[in-house]
Amino acid sequence: MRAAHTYRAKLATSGAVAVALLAVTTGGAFAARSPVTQAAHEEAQQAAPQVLTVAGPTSLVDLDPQGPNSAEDPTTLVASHIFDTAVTHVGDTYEPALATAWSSPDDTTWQFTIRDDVKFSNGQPLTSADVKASIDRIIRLDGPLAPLWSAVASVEAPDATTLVLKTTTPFGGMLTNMSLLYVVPADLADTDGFFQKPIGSGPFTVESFDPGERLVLAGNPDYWGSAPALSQLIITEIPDVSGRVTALSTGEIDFTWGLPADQLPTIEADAALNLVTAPTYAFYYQWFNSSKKPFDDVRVRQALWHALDLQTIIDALFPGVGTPSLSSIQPGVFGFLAQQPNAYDPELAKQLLTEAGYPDGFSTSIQFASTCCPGIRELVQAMISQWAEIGVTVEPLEKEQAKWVEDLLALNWDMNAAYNVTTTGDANFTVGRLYTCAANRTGYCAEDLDAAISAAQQSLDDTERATHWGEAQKIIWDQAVGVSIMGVNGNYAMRSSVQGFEPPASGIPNFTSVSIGE
Amino acid sequence: MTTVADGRHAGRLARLRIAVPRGILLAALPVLLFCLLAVIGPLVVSYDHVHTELLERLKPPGTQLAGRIAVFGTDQVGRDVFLQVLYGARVSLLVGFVTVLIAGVAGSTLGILAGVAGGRTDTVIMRAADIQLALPAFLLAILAASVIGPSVTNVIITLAVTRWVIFARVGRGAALAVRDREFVDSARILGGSPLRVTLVHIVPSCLAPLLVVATSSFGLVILAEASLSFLGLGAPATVPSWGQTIANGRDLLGTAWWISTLPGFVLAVVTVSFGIFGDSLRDVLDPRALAR
Repeated sequence: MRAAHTYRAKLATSGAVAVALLAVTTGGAFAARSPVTQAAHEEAQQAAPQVLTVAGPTSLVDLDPQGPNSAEDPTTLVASHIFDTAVTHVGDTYEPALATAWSSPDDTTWQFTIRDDVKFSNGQPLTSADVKASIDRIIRLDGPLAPLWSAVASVEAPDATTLVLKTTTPFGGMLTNMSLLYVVPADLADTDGFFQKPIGSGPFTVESFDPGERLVLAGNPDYWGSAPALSQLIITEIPDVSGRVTALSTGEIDFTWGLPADQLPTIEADAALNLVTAPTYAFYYQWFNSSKKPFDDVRVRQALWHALDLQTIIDALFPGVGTPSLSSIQPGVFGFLAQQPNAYDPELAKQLLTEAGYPDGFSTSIQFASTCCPGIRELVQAMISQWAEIGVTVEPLEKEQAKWVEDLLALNWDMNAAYNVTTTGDANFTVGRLYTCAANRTGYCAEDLDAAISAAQQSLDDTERATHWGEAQKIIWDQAVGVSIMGVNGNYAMRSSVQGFEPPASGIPNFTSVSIGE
Repeated sequence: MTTVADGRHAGRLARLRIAVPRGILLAALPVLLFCLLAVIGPLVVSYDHVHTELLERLKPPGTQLAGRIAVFGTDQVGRDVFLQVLYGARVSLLVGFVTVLIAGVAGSTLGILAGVAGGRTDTVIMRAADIQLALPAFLLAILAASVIGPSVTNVIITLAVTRWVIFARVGRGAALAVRDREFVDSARILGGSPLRVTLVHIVPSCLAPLLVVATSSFGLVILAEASLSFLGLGAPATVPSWGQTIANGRDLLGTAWWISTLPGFVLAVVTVSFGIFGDSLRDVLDPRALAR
């Protein structure tokens, strides 16, 4: 009996000790987020190499700047760090990058002089052959950027520093295109698995890549341009918004962007964080698949647009983040022309539907990517609710990023809601690339639209180009190819130790000039 | 003294004057409330899950809205969270009931068959059960949902497929315990066919433990359905369900905490209540407890 009593007592004591130990260690783990450890973390960052950890709103699945994901923000973000372009778009002008000079000897010829002192990170010299190969690759892979190059007839690299492009018709968008062409090594780009650890000539090199999880970039001290202050840039994946905000608050990441409006007050209230906001060329939009019934009828498309109370949606869901769109591109983009806003008029919508032969409405679906952009689900839910009021039942199809891109490019959708950026700041990137018959991105094809776009692309005079872009936008708007929802005020949240960040008009951050201070 | 009351003679319970444990009444209350509200609630109150009321978004619990009070507040597109819980209860009840019915009937039949028949039938059925258990239930559910697509029917089928094993095991155990009893032997000797012996004499004795398992499973099935909906693999987005409502509030825990927390609390209470109810039921119906 005594033995049992003693045994039980020992058990109880050891149990109590175990519980106490557990409490102390877990309590200690929680205490790890205390100010004392935070200061130690920052001190370590100063003493240690400059490492910036960032997490964005969209999933990074692919590093190929010419492949199917070449128009996706994360792919463009990484490309702008590990590769170079021939020219860079700064404000309204184009500055030399890999190309030191360029000229247009005649209407259908462009000539670029490529630097001779640039090496890829594996020591291989970069020549005009690599630029030629990159252009050939974009055209050959026929990805979302390929339509930008449809006017190019031939690309030649007569010697290591000269690149000659011949176009079928005069093409005014060549410099814009070259500002978005990331140069990959000619001989390696098509090898299997190259883009698992690609080699470029840019300010950063790829150390390791786990698609959908983490990308580790190392600063390139031998960069031919101004080398980055960061020794390491880590792009990590935190798809959950609350997870990202928490990670930023605790210092697990140093920088994030594209937060929903609901999270901004939390960031502003935190003294350890900085919030930078700036207008961008980014916008939220919706497309109808005009090649599928009933969206082949313009009245149906217009009806669905009139059924939407976009002002209320933007005011409620995106305060401070969204401004109503006035065209298929944003103000500030070259060629922008404001259109007549479409009134919120459910009665008119029902009337148009009846005229089109759908007096009782119809059923359809709308697809979107779950990690598209902040607030996309609420936006789609609000639109579905408003469409239900005119008798149109819409099923929401939330898809995972890679599947959404696949279905999008295959036109395997009825309606599509997404986010896009006019990355180059020129109308050709959005209007010229997505709305031609040849591009076949929306199922909408019209001769007059194609004619306006071609005229704009072939014109070498800026005023003329702007006029033609204006014509194209009017057709897109009047024909309701899609609903232009809102322009985006970009937000960038960072720890106060992050310095040197300039908000870009494209909404896609660049960290080449960033350093970690105190 | 073999005053064992088998399932057939459940009516004797009252005469035996067993002290019904207080726990069963405590647990029965939330269970009954849940069933009642799930069935009657949607008939009394109307709610449209598709309709968004943007001006009423993110309102805290107790806010006065146009014509009613938002007891649990509103979510990020202005939908009443309490009504989502009420209508979601109907989905939970439906999924729980049908799943337990299908898994219960199928599993019990297989289990009792295995127990009574013995030999190869027993081996085959039990090995099938083992294989089913070796497959991670949740991954199976996720696979089925992503291949077939989200719908309430698919959730029921998936959950039933993963749940039949416990009924089979319990049914087999109960059948084995009763198979060699004297009264079963007597029935056999008196010339009863195996089928009649099974149905009339063995099955009633197995009902009590199976009922307990069914009740406990109910709560777990509701939880599993909520988990699948949380991941977006359960009921479609146009149908309110508890998991979906909880998932909606995930990003707003720091500010609009009521969207995830209150439905989560309800889910926890219902699941635990079903578990306690099942436990208490076992205490009441267990023949060995009755003999005490």
